[in-house]
Formats: sequence, structure tokens, C-alpha cells
Amino acid sequence: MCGRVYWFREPVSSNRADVESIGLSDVLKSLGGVGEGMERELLFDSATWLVWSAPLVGVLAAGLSRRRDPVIEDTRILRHDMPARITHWTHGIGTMMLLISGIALGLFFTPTLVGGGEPVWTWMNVHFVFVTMFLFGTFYYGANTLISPKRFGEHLPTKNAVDYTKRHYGLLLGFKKFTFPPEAKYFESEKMAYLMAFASTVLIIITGLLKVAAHAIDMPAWILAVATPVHDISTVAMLAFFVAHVFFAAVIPVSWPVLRSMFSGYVSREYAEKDHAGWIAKIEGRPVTDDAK
Amino acid sequence: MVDNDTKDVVGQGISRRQFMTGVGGAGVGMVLGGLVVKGFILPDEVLAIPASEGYLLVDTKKCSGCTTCMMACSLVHEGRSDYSLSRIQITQNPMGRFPDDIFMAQCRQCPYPPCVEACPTGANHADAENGNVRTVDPAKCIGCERCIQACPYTPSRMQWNAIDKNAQKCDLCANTPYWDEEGGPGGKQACVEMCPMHAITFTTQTPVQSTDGYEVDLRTGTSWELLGLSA
Amino acid sequence: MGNGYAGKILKVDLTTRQIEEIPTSKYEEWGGGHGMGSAVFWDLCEDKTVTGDDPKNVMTIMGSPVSGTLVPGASGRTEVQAIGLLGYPHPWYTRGNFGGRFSVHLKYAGWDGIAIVGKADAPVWINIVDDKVTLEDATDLMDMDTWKTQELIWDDVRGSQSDWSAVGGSRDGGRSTQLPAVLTCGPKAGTCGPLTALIHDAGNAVGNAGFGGVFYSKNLKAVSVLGTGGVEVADTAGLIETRKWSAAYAWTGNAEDPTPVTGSWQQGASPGQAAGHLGGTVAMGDLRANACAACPRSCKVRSSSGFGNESMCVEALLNLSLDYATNGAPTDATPRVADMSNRYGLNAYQLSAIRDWIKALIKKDVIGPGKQIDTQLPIDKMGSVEFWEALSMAIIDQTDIGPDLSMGLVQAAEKWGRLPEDLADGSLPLAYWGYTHHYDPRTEAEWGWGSILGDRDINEHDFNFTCYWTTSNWALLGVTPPITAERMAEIISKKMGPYSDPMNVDYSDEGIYSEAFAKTVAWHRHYTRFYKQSIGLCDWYWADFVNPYGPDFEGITPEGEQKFLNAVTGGGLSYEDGLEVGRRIWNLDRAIWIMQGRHRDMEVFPEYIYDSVGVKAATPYVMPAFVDGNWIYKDVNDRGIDRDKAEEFKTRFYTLEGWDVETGWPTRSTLEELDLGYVADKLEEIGKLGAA
Repeated sequence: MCGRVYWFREPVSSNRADVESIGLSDVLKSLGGVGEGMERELLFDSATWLVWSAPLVGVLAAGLSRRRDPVIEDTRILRHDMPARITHWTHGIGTMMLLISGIALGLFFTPTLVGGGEPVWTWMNVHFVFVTMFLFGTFYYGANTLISPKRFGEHLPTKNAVDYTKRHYGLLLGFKKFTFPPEAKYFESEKMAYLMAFASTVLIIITGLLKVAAHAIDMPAWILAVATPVHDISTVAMLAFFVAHVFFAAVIPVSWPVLRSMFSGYVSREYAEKDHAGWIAKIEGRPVTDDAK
Repeated sequence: MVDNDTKDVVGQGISRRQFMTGVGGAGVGMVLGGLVVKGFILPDEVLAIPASEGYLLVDTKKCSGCTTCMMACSLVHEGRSDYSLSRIQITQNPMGRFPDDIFMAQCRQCPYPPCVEACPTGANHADAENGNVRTVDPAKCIGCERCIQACPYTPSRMQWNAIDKNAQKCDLCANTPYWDEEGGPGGKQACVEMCPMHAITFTTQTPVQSTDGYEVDLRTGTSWELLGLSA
Repeated sequence: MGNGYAGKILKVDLTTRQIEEIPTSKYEEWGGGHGMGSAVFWDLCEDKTVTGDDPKNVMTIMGSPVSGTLVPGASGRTEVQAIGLLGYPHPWYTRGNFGGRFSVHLKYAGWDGIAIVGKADAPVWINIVDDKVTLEDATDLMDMDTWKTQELIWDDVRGSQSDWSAVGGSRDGGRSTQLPAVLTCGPKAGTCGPLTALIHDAGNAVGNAGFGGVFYSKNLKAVSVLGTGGVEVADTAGLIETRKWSAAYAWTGNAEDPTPVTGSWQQGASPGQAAGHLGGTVAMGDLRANACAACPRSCKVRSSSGFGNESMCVEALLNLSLDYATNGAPTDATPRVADMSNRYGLNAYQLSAIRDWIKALIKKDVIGPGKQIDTQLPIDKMGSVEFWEALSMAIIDQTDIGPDLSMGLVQAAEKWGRLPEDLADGSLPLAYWGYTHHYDPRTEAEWGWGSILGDRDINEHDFNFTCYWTTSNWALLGVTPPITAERMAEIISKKMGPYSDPMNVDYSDEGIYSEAFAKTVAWHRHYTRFYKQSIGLCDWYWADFVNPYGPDFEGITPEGEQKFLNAVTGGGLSYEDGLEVGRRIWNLDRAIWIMQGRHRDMEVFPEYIYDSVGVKAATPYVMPAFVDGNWIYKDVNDRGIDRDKAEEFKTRFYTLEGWDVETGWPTRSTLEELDLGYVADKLEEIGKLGAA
């Protein structure tokens, strides 16, 4: 029988044999409840290795992926290739479930929504599973970005940010004086939100990994005294972004073509020319024309 | 199919993509390798936890059930009188029969503390700076409640602090921000100081543990014998 | 930093089943407890002239800022007020309080008090768990005794296990190892209203006033409260320091060398005093001292037999003398009879009046099978559990003489044609407003004056422990008094603030009618209304006048009251300020009694108190007295109250209080001085404002 497994060093002490190293199948099993003769595992504790593996698998996946740039195929345009869709959904679903489980477990300024004991362990395990998914997706994306920095550039706001955003939403709100700006692949407003999401993601990952590391090494208390509230505050920022993103990218009907493309990969050319004139111009190698100018 | 990314080159002759593949692959390999080494090759290491340098002793037969200790404990630690935050619990059945009508649940500072052992993050630890009293570092507590479950006594001597959201336990008053006395194994303990019945005392000698508690008689040979109460 | 208050008062409207919150801040000027209760009653009771069993009656159950804190002899007391069911000629708006831990849980649940209005359409009990308040079905509980009721409610709320249990679905909803604190009436309390009590835990009772019947009349069986929160005080270190300072004045604080001084002390008394009342280990087996929350005095006991748990004084003494008379020594009948009164939720004071009355009626040969008072009760077996069980069941099940007694004892005497005679000769020992003769108005005058000028047997031992029990014990046991009468009088006088007078405790035949004694009674009314009944300082702990551990026998009143209260609230209330709030409450209460029909003419004792026809007590009644220019300890037994002097005393007292001496009604200027102009308006409206 092997002991409790830590990646960096041995446990302080372990003369209890009930916490053991477990494999993936056990991880899945432990989500469902306490099995016959099996004590409820805290996966953060017993399967810490998965947390370290997930980002690395993401990086590896990026290395092995072949990317496709947007291309016009007759009446449709490839907007999101398969790796983009995988990174989006693993990151997105991971984020959603981490927000749900994290909030259920209680931010440091809100009461825990679930009861003590068993429910806490279940939700901690849910958090664990989606930590691995989130890390995989996020590092997959991150590595992709490092491989081709131009993709990162597409997400950054330009000098047009304020002007385009004002015109874009002013028109949506019915102010006739505005003309629709020639938005690029991503709206300028999305790009600004991206920065916030990026910052909170970085903070959440750093502080989250510190919290996980505490399961393996004797972390100085002050680090955790900083990491925990920062993790929680970043969660609030992430939640704000998440809600806004879901609203603008999935709830309102004007976003539905793009939402569909996150499954199929394609948007119609008609839509792209209307809402992303700047992007089409770029794919076709034309200069961007702006009606307002 | 176009893959422009391969054109970006890092260093000499290695593309960014190859670099990422290498980093990812090697990392995963190291984790899995380490898992095998740790899990199957290296033996488990069991480190002894040094004994606490102090213990509370209680004489349940002397307790009046006034709960002054509970109010005092939470007051000196948390700044509020609060039964649920008291690290010593007095439970009682008003209709019960002496001596089973009252139970004093004080932390035993166990020689082999299951609460410390159960803690996944080292938050629950023997505090070397305070006579190895078993205590919880709130900053490191992740709220998994393993320690609460692990305490072999009923009620659990570990509590969930629903306000600060961490587990807590008796620290023999080592950390009492609302009290101006020096606490801990080398100092004073609020429950000992405040118990009007002198039913709680402090010792540096490791008491013999049993599941029924320690056999403690703080009455015989004291003025208690004047009162015509229990032997 | 807190101020001891939870911040909200719970209002439960049983008629509409609505639960509301009243901000405590609205009533904080009254302190807490009784003051708050009266102010809330004033606001919520639309018709203060209704009877106690009317749905319009409002009951308040109040804690205080010190509830749940380390203030000794105070933390665990709860004040209950409503229009009562017991009383003659009129059950007044009245009060009672009880110890234990109810007030602690109420505070920890986040409430400073409870106001209960209306009447439920079906039997209910109120279930308070922190801020969650629900009305539960009590149909099956209504005929159940108080212990069984509590055990079932404990099970219902959290189970009786001593492990942690969580409240609500969230793990941050709070956890507790404690049983909920329950206040309940006995079985069928509606049928015997005037004789009923409210019981909490094994033996904490709101005995007088018939409040069990008030519960029942509202279709309310019990109130249960479990609090998993806590309370913050203004000065944590100051509170701990004051508590340690006061410990030096308690027996337990001197346990290493208690050097017992014979006497009956408040704070200075030894733990487990109830053991003596209950027959001790002989009757009960092994004992522990048992305390109300945070109290170092621990006057109650719990036993290995389970008999007599938490019983005190009156119910403990219910059978003790009979036990001695029958068996020559205490038996388990004494604690079992005490338990019976608690389990059945019957008022032990009224039971003891019934006991003494039956004894007198036996002597007069008018009670028994076929006699004028026809009864099958085993009156030849008084002193046995069998007798008390039969009497209790007759009252609860309304058989035999039970229905008559259940009307109230004066009313029963009236029905039996015994009223003038038995009340006049003291056979029916009801000394004030139909309440049982407790301490004798003829000897211990402040007790009598306070009671007829108020609403009930005052049951306030401030002077009693020191000036009667301690001094009489010295005489009885031949102990040389460790302090002179002069010193005793000096200590007490200096602790009476603005009412201080060198002659405050002159219990001589003239002294008890004096101006100085009127000040003593005024101090007592005002002190107890605020410090005891509003802040919750226990009658058996405070005031601390003469203390065997104090420097030159001086106790901690008034420094103690002031230090403790201000450490909790952070306020700068002086001792005198507190007395003034007490005077305000006393005047508000009086206005309510006036609305109920109070007039000077009613404030009189029954006949037997005036003429010295009462049987002289077998033991001395020794009290400090100023006689022939000297302070002495004098046996004042065997004297009656002089009718004319009593009236003169009342005039002095009314004048001192600023009341109309013709009617005993407060004047507008008195009320306005107390910021009670709205009360003056109300009295004027009904034509009962005192003439200036």
C-alpha cells in the first residue's frame, strides 16, 4: 500500500492510511459520493498531481495542434478553428463551474451555500475537476498564443476602442446619429473586456496554484493570507466578466451568429460583412473603410 | 490548410511549436514519473508530532454548568461571547442525573493528534513557538473540515468558525487578541482563570487519556468539602 | 465593538401569524428587560383594561444588554410581563423573571426580547433558531408536562445528542452543541390560570402572576430559542477585569480560604444553597451546584437521583416542613414535590398558600369528606408525594376542589363562604393583592410597602438577606454579630444614592413609617425596576450591600452595577442615572395600573396584617433598629401595622414620588419631568391624572 502522495515532498505526518494516492477513475468515482468502504477523498489532497499535469497537457496539446487562420469559404467564413473551440469551451465551462462551486463553498466575504462535511467535500471535488479542465483549456490557449503572438494581438484594444464602442452600442441603443464602425474580428468592447478577463485569470491561476501548493508543501501563512483574498476578489471580477460575456455573447440575439460559430466554427459572410467589416477587409487584404470618416 | 505558426522560430532551428511540445511533454512526463517514484518507490515518512507542553484538566463533578468558560473563551479569542465559537464546550441536560447531566468538552491536546494529521495543508499544526499546542493557522485553513471529522471525541473539539470561515481549536490561549494576559502553555488560560467553580485547571504533565476523559478530582481536600455536595 | 444589544426585538402576532422585527434602538433608553417590556407593552397593548386571558393582552419576554455576557448574576435572567391572571381584587399588569439560559440563547439568536400579541387559531409553539422564527403545531403538547414538552422540542429542533449540529443548509449558518432554551406552560394551563407558572429547563420558573395561563389563553404552549451567534460588548478587557474584581467578593473567589461567616448573603453566598432547602444529599443523593448562565453563585443543585434538579427556595420548601413533621427528616418526597410543581407548571407560591390554608382549615375542622369544604383529597397524608399528586391532578383535571382553587384562592374562599374570616385571621395567607404571604409586611416593612404600592409580592431580597436572614440567624444560632447594627445601617445608607438617609434601615416600630423609610422604599422600587428587572441583575446576587468578603463588610453596590453595565454598553450611565430610569419605569407601570383601576384606596393590606392577630413566628425576626438613640438588632416579631400610620406613610411616599396624595396618581409635572408627557396625556384623557 502506498502512502499519501505529494509531488514536492513528504507529508508532515501520515499514520492514517485512509488518504491514498488515487487514479483518474477514483477521481470520477469520488464525485458521485462515498463508495463502499471508501472514505470521501479530497481530490485537491490526494490527486494534486492532476493539477500540475493539466497545464502541461494544455501546453503539450498546443504544441501538437495545427491551427487554421480564418478563411472565406464561399458564403461562410471560418472564424474559430477546432483548437480555438476546444480552448474556449474548456476554459469557459471550467470557469463557469469554478464560479459555481467556488461561490457555493463561500468567498471569504459571503456565507457558504452548502452544508458542512460531505457537501463541502463534494463541492471541493467539483472545484478540483474543473480546475483541471480550466487549467488545461487556459494553458492550451496560452501556449497557442505564445506560438503565434498575432492571435494575442487580435484581442488587444486599438486606438479606436472608445470611438468604436460608443458608436457600436450607441447604434444598438437607437441613436441614429451613429454609423456602425468597421469592427475587426473581435469588437473593441470585447477587447477591453478581454484585458479584464486576462488579468483576473492570471491572478486566479497564480493564487489558485499557491493554494494547491499548500496541499503539498509547507507554505508560509502570509502567502496564503494574501493568496486567499486575492483569489476571492479575482473571482468577483471574473464573475462580473463572465456574466457580461454570457449576456453579450449568448443572450442577446445579435450575438447568436457568433455563438453558433463557437460550435460550428463558421459565420455567414453576410453577417461578417455587416458586423465585422474591418475583419473581412483584413482577410481580403483590403484597406479598412470607415463610414464615419 | 495553412499553418503560419511554424514559421516563427525560437533560438536556432527550434520552432515555438516544437518548444511548446517539448515543454508540455517533458512536464507531463516529470509529473507522472514523480508520481510513480513517490507512490511506489519511496517509503512513507511518518514524522512524530512533539507533545504539547500543556493540558487542560476538568472536574466535571465540580462544574456548575454556568458556561462562564465558554463566554470567556470566545470573548478573549474573538471579542464576543459566543457559545458556538468557544473552544471548550459545556453540554448539559437539565433533567439529567448527576454526574451525567453535565459534560465538559475540552481539547485534550492529544499526543497523536488526529486533527493535525488530517489537515491537508498544515494549517492545523503543533505550534513550536507556543509549547507545541495544537492550533489552526486560519490563513492556511482551506475549510475542508477534515480536522472536525477527525477529532475522535464528541462533540468534536474542533469547531467551524462560521464568521471567519476556518476551523479552530483550543490553543491554551496562545492567541487571545482580546485579553491582556500572556496565554499559551507558559501563560494563563481564560477558562481556568474565569471558571468560578475552579473546575478547570492547567497542567504541564501529560495526562493519561481514556475515551471517558481524565480522572480528575479538584474537590477533595479543598473547601468544596464544606458545601455538602458531591463526594 | 458592540454595546450588548442584539439590535432587534421579535414581535410575534399569533392572530395573523406574522413575524416582525422592532428595532431595539427605539427602546434602548429603557435599558432592557422590564423597562423595555413596559414601553413595548404601552405601545402594543391597545386596551390595557382587558383581562389576562384576553387575546388583546400583550406578553413581553425580554433579555437585557448584559444577557449572554460575563456579568455575574445577570447574564441568564429573562423578564416576563403581561396582564396577569393572579390577583385580588384585580390581576394587575405585572411581571416575573426567571434564570437559566433562555436570555443567553435569545441574545445569541439575535434578539433583545420577544413581544407576543394576539391569539393563535390553533395550538402553537414558537420556534426561534437565530433569525428564523416559525410557529409550530403544538396540538400534541398542550396537555403535556413541562419537562416532556421541553424534551420533545429539543428533539424537534436539534436532537438531544451533545454533538455539534448545524443550523440551516449552509455550513456558515451556525452550529451548536447546546439544547435550545425553552419556556413552557404546564398541562392544561388554561383551566387553572391563576395557579400557573412558566417553566424553563428543570426548575427555572416565572412563578407568580399566572403567566402559564396567559400562554395557554393565546394557544401558545412554549417558546424555544437556539442561538448560534454571540454578543459583543463595548469594553472586553474592562468586563473581564470587573468580573475578576467582583470575584473577590464571592465565596467562589475566596474558595481557597472561604472563612465562612454565618449569614445569608447575596454575592457572598456559598454554592449549592438549594441543597439545604431540598433536604440535601439524604433526600437527593450526590449533588452538584448548578448555576444560571455566567453566575458564580450557583445556588441551585442537580442530583444523582434526578430529583430536585434546579429547584429553589419556594418549591423546594413546599414539602420540607411537612416532611419533617411527617417523617422526622427530609425524604425524597421534598425534592419530588418540588419537581412536581415544576413539571406541572404550577405556582409553588400559591401551592404553599393552599398548603397552609388547608392546614388551618383542618384545624378549624371545616375541610374533608362531607365537611363544609367537601373533598376526597388525602389531606391526612399531607407531606406525602401522594397528597401533592392528588392536589395537582385535581387542579389540572378540574376535579374535587380543583375547579374552586383554580379560580384563585380569594375567589375560592368567597365561594366557600370563608372569605372574611380566613383572610382576616391569616388562615388564608395572602398578604398583598391575593399573592401568598412571603415576607411579613409587619416586620419586614419594605417588602410589604413595596408590594401593595406595586403589583405583586415584590420578591426582592435586597434588604431581606442582610437585615432579616443574616441578623435573625445570628440571633437564632447565638452568633456574635461580626458587625454592629450601626455599621450595617451605615453601609446600606451610603449605597442608596439620592435616597440615602442614616435611618434608611430603621426597622423599629416607628422607623417603618418614617420619611427615611419612604426613601428606602422609593430606592427599592426604582433600583429593582431598573437594575434588577431591566438589566437583569439577579435578586439572589444583587444588590450587594453587606458582603462577608468586602473590606469592612462592604459589598460592591453601587460600583459593581455601574462598572458592569458600562463595560457592556459603553455608556456613561451613573448609578443615579440608573435609579432615575427605574423611577421612570415605575411611573410608567403605575400609569398602566391606574388605567386598570388603581387608586390609593386599594393600596391596603388584608386585615390580618393590621391587627396583630397573626401567629407569632417560631423563629426570631431580628432586624436593625434605631431605638432610644442607639442602633440595635431588635426582634420585631409580633407587631401589626398601624392603620393610621400606614396611611400617613403612604402620603409620605406619594409626596416623595410626586403623586397626588388623594388618589395616588402621578401628576403631569412628575410625568413630564420623566419625559412621560404622553403618559400624562393618556391619564388626563381618562380623567385619572393626579392633581398638582
